[in-house]
Amino acid sequence: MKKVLAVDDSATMRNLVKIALEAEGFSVDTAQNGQEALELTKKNTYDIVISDINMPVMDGLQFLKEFRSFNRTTPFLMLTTETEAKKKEEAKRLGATGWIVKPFKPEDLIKVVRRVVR
Amino acid sequence: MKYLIKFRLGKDVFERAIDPRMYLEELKELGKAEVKILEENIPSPEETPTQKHCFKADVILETEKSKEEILELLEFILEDGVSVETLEGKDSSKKTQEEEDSEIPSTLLKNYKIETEEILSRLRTSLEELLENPGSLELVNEIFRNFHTLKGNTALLLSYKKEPNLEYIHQITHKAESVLQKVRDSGIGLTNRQAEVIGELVDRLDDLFLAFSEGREEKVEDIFSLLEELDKSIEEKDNLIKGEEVSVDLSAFINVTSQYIPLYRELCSKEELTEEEKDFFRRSLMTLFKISKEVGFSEINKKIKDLQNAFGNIDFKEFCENLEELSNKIQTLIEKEIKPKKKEKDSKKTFDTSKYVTKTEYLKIEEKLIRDLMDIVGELSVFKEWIILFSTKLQKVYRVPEASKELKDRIYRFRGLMESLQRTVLEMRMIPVSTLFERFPKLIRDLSRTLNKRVRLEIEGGDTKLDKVIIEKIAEPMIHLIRNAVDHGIESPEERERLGKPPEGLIKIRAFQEGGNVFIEISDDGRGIDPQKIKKKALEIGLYSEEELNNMAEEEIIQIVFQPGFSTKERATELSGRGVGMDVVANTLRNLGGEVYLYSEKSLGTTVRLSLPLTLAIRKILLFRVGSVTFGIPAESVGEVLKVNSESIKSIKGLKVLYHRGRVLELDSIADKLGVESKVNGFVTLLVDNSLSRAVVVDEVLNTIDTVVKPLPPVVTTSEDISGVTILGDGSIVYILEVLN
Repeated sequence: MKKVLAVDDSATMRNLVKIALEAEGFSVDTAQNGQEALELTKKNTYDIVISDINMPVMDGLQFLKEFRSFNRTTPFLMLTTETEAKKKEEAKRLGATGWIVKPFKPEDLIKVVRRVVR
Repeated sequence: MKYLIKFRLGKDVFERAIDPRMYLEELKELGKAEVKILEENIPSPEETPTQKHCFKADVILETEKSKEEILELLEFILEDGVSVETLEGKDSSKKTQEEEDSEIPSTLLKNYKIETEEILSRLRTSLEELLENPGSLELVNEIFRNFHTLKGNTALLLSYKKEPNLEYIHQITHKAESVLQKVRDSGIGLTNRQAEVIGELVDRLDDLFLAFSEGREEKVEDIFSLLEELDKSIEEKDNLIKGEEVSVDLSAFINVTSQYIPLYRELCSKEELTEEEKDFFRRSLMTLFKISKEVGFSEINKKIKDLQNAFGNIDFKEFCENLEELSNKIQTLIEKEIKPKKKEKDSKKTFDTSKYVTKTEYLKIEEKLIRDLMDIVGELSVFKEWIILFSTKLQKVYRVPEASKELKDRIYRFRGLMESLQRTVLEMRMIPVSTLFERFPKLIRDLSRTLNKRVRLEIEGGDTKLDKVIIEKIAEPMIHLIRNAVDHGIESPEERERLGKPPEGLIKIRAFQEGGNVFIEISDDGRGIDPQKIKKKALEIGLYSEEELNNMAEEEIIQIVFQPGFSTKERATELSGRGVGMDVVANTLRNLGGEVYLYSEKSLGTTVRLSLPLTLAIRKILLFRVGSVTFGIPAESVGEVLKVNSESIKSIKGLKVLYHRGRVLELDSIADKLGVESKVNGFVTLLVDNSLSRAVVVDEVLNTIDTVVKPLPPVVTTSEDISGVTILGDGSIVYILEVLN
């Protein structure tokens, strides 16, 4: 079973990602911020990481930066909003594989995830 | 569609854990892909990507997918050295243009209108609540969802047709949605003013929607300043939360405090705070302190300072009490600021009350209920007939002319009411033919593509109404006729040019009502039908003798295509003109109580005219008598009524037959079939079917009536010849027979 790590400070968003991907046969771990997520990625191996940008404690970009310092092969999807065009560029530069623009429908998420995880 | 997709990827993508080979696999799944790898140096998982790593390949892809879909698939690497070029097939931009022209399907439109009314009414409810409680995030979510749904629905309609009101609705909902998204992201509710602005937006959406429904244009330029204001105030708020420098004034103070207060109250109801929440207290008090100082609220400023110092040092409950006191003070202050503004708004509101009344144009009703209602109306109208009979009886049998007169005087009014009741119920079953016609533009596009024809479609009278059941039943025949028109009627563009016609053929579909009938005409400006060819074919198949054909007018000859056995597939395709199964079309129409007629002029075009009854609920029934029993038969199934001497009926191999117009009619006797005693000798009456091949023997034809036919429940059906019953004015029950189908 493919493992996903979903990182978002919004419980609604975490749940949305979890429910959508579990229905597709993924196993989903969640974290509330970059710090928590970073600890999880050090302990476990994931097939894909999906993370929000704006989060307390450690934001998504910082998390991505630290994550890529020890992992270059796991796809990383950024959750962005339409107004965060600049951050998308930043995320790409830091090694984000792709992005999903919020708000998205579960089927859009699944489509994008399927595009990076076979 | 054929595309050339060029991959020119370098180090960057490998740093993002992208494996280009995966994209190749995905492209291969879309269709036929020809992959040419030019250079491939992909780093292994252990390797650090450097400048030497690259992936260069060209893919020629043949697929059904649109360019947009392919671009979407490649989204994450599009800016990193991937290009998509259309080699063959229609450009997607052209395609969207084509879609722009199409009409919005009426069912979609209907659903959109119903749902939009619901959404707007939900938005109004939420807004009422929001004005009471602007800080509520739950309400913001609720409103966001409604804007989101409306935006999506509107975008769907816009994909069919660009309409200015819809464009505005889309822009407003889009903007409002993204603004509210920011509010949701920030986790802090709206201020009163922001809630008011959103209220204004909903008002404008209302206006726009109404304008859209009524087909006029609405001016909404001022909406953009509102949107801008909303956007700005939220951004300011965003910055304040982050503690960034902004110009501070009273409105900012109101902004911030009205967001904080609900949150403070929420947090104070908690037993314990998380680190994050404590952090929020410290930061927010700091912000409040900074602003209140600048605005010059010294009393409040002092209170905030105290609270700042108290936080963490005194009991949380006590802190909350102090905070509550502060909140109340701030709120009073804010209310003072906002009230005058609100008053102004209120007076405007009373002036515009009409805007707040929901207007619902549609009501969904189960089809069965309408059928039931129709039945009841049917029985009522029988009862009406009985009353009329009774009034006569009062005079003639019971000899109370006064009562009879009084009753008769009232009956006219009753009769009028009954008629309008019947009309209204019938109206309820009627839907515009556009529900059927809206499928045709696509049909024509598909057909002309497969048949390599160029065809323009013109539709007229889409709002003509017909019984829903009839619309469902004529769908097939109409598609059939349109296919024939494109396939056999319209010539190829080259041929048309040779003939001096415009290369693009024209198919016109026209619906209109005349009296109790609806007519639908399907015309083309194609090659028309050659009567000589029909003559030849009819002779060959032996449908008519040469003499018969010579006596027929050209118009009559053309109608032969509707004869069963004339137009089978093999025969018809080689015939210039009409095609497949015209007899099936004619039959369907006749069963509905309608007719079909063909007009054609060689090399100028063909018109098929369908004439249809308005409704199937009321049918024309031919009443006849066998012995002492009255029966009915759907009038449309009777082609001819004949009176013949019973001696002219011959018997061949046990079958009764009659020679009529040079043809052999096979006879059935109702009396024998249903075991009724016939009392006729000498002359008998024959009801002949439409194709002049069968007839039934009855005693006497009485008259025709328009009546509601009730089907018989299967349990009481003893003979398959009986399809239903109807009740006559005198209360007697008449069986409706289906003996000529």
